[in-house]
Amino acid sequence: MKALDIAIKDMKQAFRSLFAIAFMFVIPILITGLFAFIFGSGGEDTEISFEPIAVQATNQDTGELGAIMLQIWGSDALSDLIILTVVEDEASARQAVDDKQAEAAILIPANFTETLFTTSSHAEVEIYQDPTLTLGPGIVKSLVTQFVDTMNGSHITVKVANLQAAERGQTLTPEQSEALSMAYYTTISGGAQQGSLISLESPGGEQQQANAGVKSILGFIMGGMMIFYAYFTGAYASNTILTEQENGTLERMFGTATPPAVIITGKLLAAALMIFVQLVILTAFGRLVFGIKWGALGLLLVFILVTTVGAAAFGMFAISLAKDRKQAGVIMGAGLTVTGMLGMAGTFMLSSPTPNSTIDTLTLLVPQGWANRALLAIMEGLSPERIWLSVLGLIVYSAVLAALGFFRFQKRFA
Amino acid sequence: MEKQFAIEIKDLHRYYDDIKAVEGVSLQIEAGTVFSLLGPNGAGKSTTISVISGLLRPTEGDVAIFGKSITGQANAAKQHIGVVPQDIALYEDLTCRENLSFWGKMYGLRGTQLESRISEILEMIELANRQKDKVEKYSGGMKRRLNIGVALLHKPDIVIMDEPTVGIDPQSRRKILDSVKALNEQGMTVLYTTHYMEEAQELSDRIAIMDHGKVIAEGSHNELVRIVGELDRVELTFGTEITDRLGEWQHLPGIQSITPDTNAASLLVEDSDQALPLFFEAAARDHLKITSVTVHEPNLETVFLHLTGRALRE
Repeated sequence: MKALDIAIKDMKQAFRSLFAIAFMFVIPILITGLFAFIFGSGGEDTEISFEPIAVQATNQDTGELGAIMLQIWGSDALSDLIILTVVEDEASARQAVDDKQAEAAILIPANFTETLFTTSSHAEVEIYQDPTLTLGPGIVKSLVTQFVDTMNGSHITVKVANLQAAERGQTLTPEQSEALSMAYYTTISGGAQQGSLISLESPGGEQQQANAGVKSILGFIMGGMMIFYAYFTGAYASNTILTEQENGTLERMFGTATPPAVIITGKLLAAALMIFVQLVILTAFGRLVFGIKWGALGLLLVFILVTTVGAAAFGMFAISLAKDRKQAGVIMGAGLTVTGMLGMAGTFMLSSPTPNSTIDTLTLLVPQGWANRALLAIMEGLSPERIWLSVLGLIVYSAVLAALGFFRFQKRFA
Repeated sequence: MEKQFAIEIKDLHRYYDDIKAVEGVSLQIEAGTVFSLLGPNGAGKSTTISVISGLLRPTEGDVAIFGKSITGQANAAKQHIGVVPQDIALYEDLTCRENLSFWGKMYGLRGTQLESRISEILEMIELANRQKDKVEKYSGGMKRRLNIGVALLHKPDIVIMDEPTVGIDPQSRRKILDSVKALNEQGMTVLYTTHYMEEAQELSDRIAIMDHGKVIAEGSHNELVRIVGELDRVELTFGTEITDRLGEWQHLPGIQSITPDTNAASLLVEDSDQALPLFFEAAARDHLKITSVTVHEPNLETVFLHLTGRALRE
């Protein structure tokens, strides 16, 4: 019971310390936030709000192409981009633009289809636009140009085929010209899935993949930061033993018939509670704000628990090596940085196409490495053997460190 | 049946490597008394108290608290003791009440017993209206009072106070001295260390004078003063430096000892009325000008001077 009293008192003091709060929560979040800023938000999928462009069109074409073009632009696929209204005469279409009921009017001439299948005729599709607008009419112009270019390509194909046939003393029939033109159109528009020269991906899909990548990177970074600073919290909490020793409160505690073992247990418990709160808050924050997927909830809880024990044990051991706060400062500054960075080396190698197995093994020299390995395995959904082996390694390592740290302090205060 | 003392110190030795901080101290302190350890800084008072409190293990010897050995039955012995350390030992970032609550729990108090005891202590140390303030906002005197209050939470049979009035204002000092008397009136045994002779004289039933790790005298105030008999202490101040110039004065009639300083001297004499004219004659002969004379009746300072040849505050 007294151990819990000591732990609660220590937590109260820690959560009133700006220094402790900064290292427990603010810095890990800031560093992850910095990476989020560099790589992009990585948050939930963002959508650009875009008002569809109102377009009026007249189709004077006597053939089929004009109707096909309007059919494409009026299709559901482009409904988010264009709202097409087909009117009977050009004057109505132009008037709609003048009245700002439409941003542009597309005027398809009468010989549009004929131009495609004959080599002598010429036709122009006219775009009538509101001169004060740029974006909407620009998009419409781009779409029309794309379609007309395709048609021009088809027209050239028919022309070349006719020339080649003429060299052989033959003439293409209108049916042959049409078949040739449609074959060209089908190929150039990607209609034939097999043998298509260009693979088109939808922008939405690319964004989702990019976001998933960023979230994954942020997850690894925040995971590494969490582990790094959890171990710092462990050392910070145990360092209060030395602080209390220098302030005389530890001696006073010994004067209250509280055995040293109970006091040391209280300090260990304080460290564990602080780290647990820290990890829970950071993982929740990472999920809610950065959209990080930590893996299965049950396994994440296992990770939080073993890392809590590991960081508390390591802190106890590390601080037991120091005689006073000055030495503890060196351990917390240099020792934890070196071991923490070594432990995080596994994260840094994730981007490497050829991971260095030596470095991967070296990370296991420090408990942070085991914790990092466990978290990465959980996040990547690796085999249960890999996850539980890392967890078990961390537990064994932590038990040894806790025992050593406890023994050293017990001996000192006996 | 053998008498049981509140504190019984038996041939206590405590060494720090080669330094003998306490050497062969034996004392018996009766329950319900105020006992002072008087001595200059470095005399071994704090070390003795640390051993009595169970914070230091004795190199040799033992201490019994109501018959329980502080080495063999440490926890049982500690239950009887409340220690007021010399330096403030509180959590500055916690409030006064939070400090009392935590330390109360460390002494094993819980629930309503703890809450009522905290309220009593707050009234006693006159900090009830500042109980929600963090200790870091307190004055030195307020911290001292809280420092004492913490030691009283579990109603100990013995309160050990290690120089509790060091570095505080006269008003707070007065409050602390009054609180010591009040605690004693409630039946508590008080072990008090100080290098202020007046405090020991005012508070104590018995006094042990320590120097260089040893008890050089022990008894009630009157018993101690009788050590020096009816000797008066005369302090002379000279207009010039007197180094090595009072050698001949040792042979003047009625002079017990001379403790010279740069331009002053403390002299223990059998009768100051007879000695003073002799001093003025000797001063004239040695071409020394006496600028002031103070005559003290026998007190603890005189005793310490008599026993060690040094002033208590040196």
